[in-house]
Amino acid sequence: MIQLNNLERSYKSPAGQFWVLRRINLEIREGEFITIMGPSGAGKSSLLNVLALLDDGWQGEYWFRGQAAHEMKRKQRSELAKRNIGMVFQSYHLLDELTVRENIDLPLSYKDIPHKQRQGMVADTLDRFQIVAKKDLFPSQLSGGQQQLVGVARAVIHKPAFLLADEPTGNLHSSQAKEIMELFRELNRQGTTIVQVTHSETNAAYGSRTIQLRDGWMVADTANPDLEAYEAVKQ
Amino acid sequence: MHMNVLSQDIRYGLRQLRNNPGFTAIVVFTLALAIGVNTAIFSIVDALMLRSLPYSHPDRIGTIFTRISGPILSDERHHIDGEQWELLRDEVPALISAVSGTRTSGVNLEAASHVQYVQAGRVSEHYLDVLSIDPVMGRNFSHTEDLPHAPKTAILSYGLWRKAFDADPHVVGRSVLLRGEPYTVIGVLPEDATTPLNADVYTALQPTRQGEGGGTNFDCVTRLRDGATWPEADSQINRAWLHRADRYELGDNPGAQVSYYSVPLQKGQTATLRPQVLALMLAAGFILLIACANLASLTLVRVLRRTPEIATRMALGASRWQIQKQLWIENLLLALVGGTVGVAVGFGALRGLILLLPEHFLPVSRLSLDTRELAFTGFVSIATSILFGMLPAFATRRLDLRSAMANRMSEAGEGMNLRQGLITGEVALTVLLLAAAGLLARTLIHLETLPPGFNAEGVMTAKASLDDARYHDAAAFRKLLSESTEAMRQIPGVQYAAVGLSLPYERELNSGGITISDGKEAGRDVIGDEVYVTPDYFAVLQIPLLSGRAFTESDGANTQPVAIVNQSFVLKAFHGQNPVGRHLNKNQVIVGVVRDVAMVPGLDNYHLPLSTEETMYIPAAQMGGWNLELLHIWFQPSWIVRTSRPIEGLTARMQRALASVDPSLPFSGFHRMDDLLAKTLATQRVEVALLTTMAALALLLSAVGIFGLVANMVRQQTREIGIRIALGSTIREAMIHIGVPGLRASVLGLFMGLVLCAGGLRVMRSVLYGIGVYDGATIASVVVVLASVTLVAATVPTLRIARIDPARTLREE
Repeated sequence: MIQLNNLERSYKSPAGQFWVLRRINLEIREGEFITIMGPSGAGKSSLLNVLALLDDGWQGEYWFRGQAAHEMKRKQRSELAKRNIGMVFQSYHLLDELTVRENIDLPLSYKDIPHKQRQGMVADTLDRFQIVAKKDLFPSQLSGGQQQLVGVARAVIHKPAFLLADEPTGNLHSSQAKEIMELFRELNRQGTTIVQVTHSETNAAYGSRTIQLRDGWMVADTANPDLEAYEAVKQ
Repeated sequence: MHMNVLSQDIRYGLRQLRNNPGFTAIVVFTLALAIGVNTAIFSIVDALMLRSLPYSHPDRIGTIFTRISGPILSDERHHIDGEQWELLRDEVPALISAVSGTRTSGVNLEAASHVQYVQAGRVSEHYLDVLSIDPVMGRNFSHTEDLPHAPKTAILSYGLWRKAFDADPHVVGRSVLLRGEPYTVIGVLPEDATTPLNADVYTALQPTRQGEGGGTNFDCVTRLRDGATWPEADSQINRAWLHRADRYELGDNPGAQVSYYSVPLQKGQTATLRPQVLALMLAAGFILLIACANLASLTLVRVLRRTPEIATRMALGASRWQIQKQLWIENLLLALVGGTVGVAVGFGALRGLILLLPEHFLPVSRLSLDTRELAFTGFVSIATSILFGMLPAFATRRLDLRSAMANRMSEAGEGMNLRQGLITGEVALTVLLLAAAGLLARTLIHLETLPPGFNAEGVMTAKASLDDARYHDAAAFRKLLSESTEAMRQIPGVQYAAVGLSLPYERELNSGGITISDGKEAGRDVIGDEVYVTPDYFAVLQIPLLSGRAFTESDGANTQPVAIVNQSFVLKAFHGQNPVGRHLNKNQVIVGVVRDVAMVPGLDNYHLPLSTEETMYIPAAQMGGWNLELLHIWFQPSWIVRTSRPIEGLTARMQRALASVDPSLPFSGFHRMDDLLAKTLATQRVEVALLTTMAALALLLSAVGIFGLVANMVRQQTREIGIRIALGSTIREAMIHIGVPGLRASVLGLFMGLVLCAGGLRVMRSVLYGIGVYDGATIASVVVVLASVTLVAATVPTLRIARIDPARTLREE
């Protein structure tokens, strides 16, 4: 589904070039549930942002279902992301001025979808996530878990093929976290390819594959035992 | 689908405004003031310059300007004389032409035993035809009625017909007493009819080359005949007028080139007012720009605070255009609400303006807030929303989604340079407005404190119209003045009573030429003014007698003609030598010299609102009957009393005193001398009031902008300030660190404003009196005021720094 070849990301700083991702070669197949782990500053969120096509400053190749994202302009990438990718954030990033229903409807409002169809999709999603009773509440009126639930609902309403989650349970209690992870598992079972970033081993256990990053390098991949140790690669 | 998206954006926008009431209130308030001021001023501009005159084919109605190029340049509308009128009428077939008196005169109308004072306009036979006004009852003046000594006829305005004649449907053919003579009513004008004269009643002018027509005492209006063109008409006018015997235009300009050309009547009527009105519109435009700069700054901060929300939306698929559209819709909603409130503000401002403006300030047109003004308000609202919404929208163009969503923005505040730039611009414009207002205010003070030359305390005046056939006779005129002033002297508390043709602070009669009869200046003509007065005139006004004597009761119709002249006359005619005993106009002896009084000049200094002129006073008792008729068409004499103390019911007693001599002669109004000064300087007062208000508004807006900038910096840099204090900075040092950007922007704005003043204030040269354009005291005052206000605005928000708890800040970090 996704192929990254020699993908790198760096920033210029007064001290010189600062690398956050180094020669990432990664293949993500349809239906996988991948966990990306690593210490702080390893480049986990940076990799997730690249996968989400939120970041443009990378070099290398990024193939999405055979399409060369690395050759696309910003607008084309946005369209690609809009159609195929959903994102769940650690801080939920719900809009405080919008109700639950309106937050869930938000991604649809940026697509050319007829109004009635949108209404139907929102209704279905509310029902699917069992939050119909809360549709007219504002985020400040929900618990953390409920907010994240809405965040997930918003991320999947347009049935993306690819769901990215950046520390989705980072701000939740364990029981709420379990609920969210179970939801992810169910979505994956239904065919959604999921990539999550997490520090939690418990959460990682829900996935089918774990990738380790360190200092921007991919140092381990449970799907690729032949991955060279990063010390050797660094040399 | 697009409508659904639009209605969604509108719904979200309204919700944003509702959930941020403080921000919304400030924006709406600022916009309402700025848009309201612009709407009110535009109403004046519209009425004066844009709105078509309420006549059929107004583009075919005009008047004639004279262009003189010589030692003295001139390009303006002139009054014309009888000869010019007859040539225009007879030798310019391209036009239907008409003339009128230059202004209305107050006359007494007696109908059904009721006397009232009305404004009468004198017009030639085709005046109403030029304006395409058909009487709603009766008819227009005929050719015969416009000839000298023709039967006297009158056309009533609709308002007078309703008020004085109870809308009598049989009024046509009725006889009324006007100016003490019987006139037959021949017509009534339509309700909505309006003329440049704006009179209550119209009578035939009967213009000739003699009398009034011997001087430039007529205004002309013209209409192009069908098929004719303006160039054609101008060519005919020039042919007709350039070969006249008496070319008065060359009087002070021998050898100059003179030409005549037609201009639209609207322009001709309003030419002298246009510069002031356009200046006001410019000032109002500045207010709007300052308001937009303020709002752009406020909105920028607010948008930047919403950066995480905007980044989330973009992460969810919103394009930059969709984000900007939403922001613009929010701004548009604010602007429309502000504009709606602005219409109410404009309406209130307009009502206030109408009260302030001198009577008949706007020739012909009426001030109103109608669809045109509403459309203007709508346009300004939309333009404002684009202006103040543009900058914040552009600020989001380079959004880094990752940092924005993590709420990691530059702690100094995105857009800080932009905001400081806006503050600089606001302050610069404020400097210009303040300086202009200051200069005008000083001009007004100068004019109001000019030495009056008399004592205005304890003086009451009242005018009455002697444009009345009964007072064409000199004996009747003398009897009226003598007996009425004697009756007023009997009022307890009255020290003196007198009558004068004109008063200080008014325009005087231009005599056309006073000839010195003896001495080395014999034969020389002095252009000056003439004022007839009764003996106690100088005493009642306490005008100092500098030499010789005042008039007495013995200076009568059959005694030696005498005159009293003023200082300016002595200087000009006699080079400062005491002229008592000298002769003027063959047989008048100068018996005294008085001090100059401040008056409205009509000769050399006619562009000044107040000045002094060479004046010759003559005893009213020595006025010949032959010129009383003409004199009292143009001027109404004033009765003047001086009292030793306030007298209750003084005006009623004065009226009774006059009525005891002539029961059918009403006073038209009572005025203290302060009222006359206020009336003379009304235009200047309005200009000062308006410009000062706008400058104060600009100062307030600039102060709010600076306050907001610094307050926002305090808020955004709380963490940094806490760390600085924890590391040893004093509160004072922190305050200086935070307040300096706002002060820096203000200082730069002040400097730029002074540069703007160097160029911009020059245009005010023609409206300043008594001070120069770069008056040091005014500029210094502006600098001090602005510096003080900006210092306070930049300092007050930093006081919050004293409440920052470094320990708590670091804990949160």
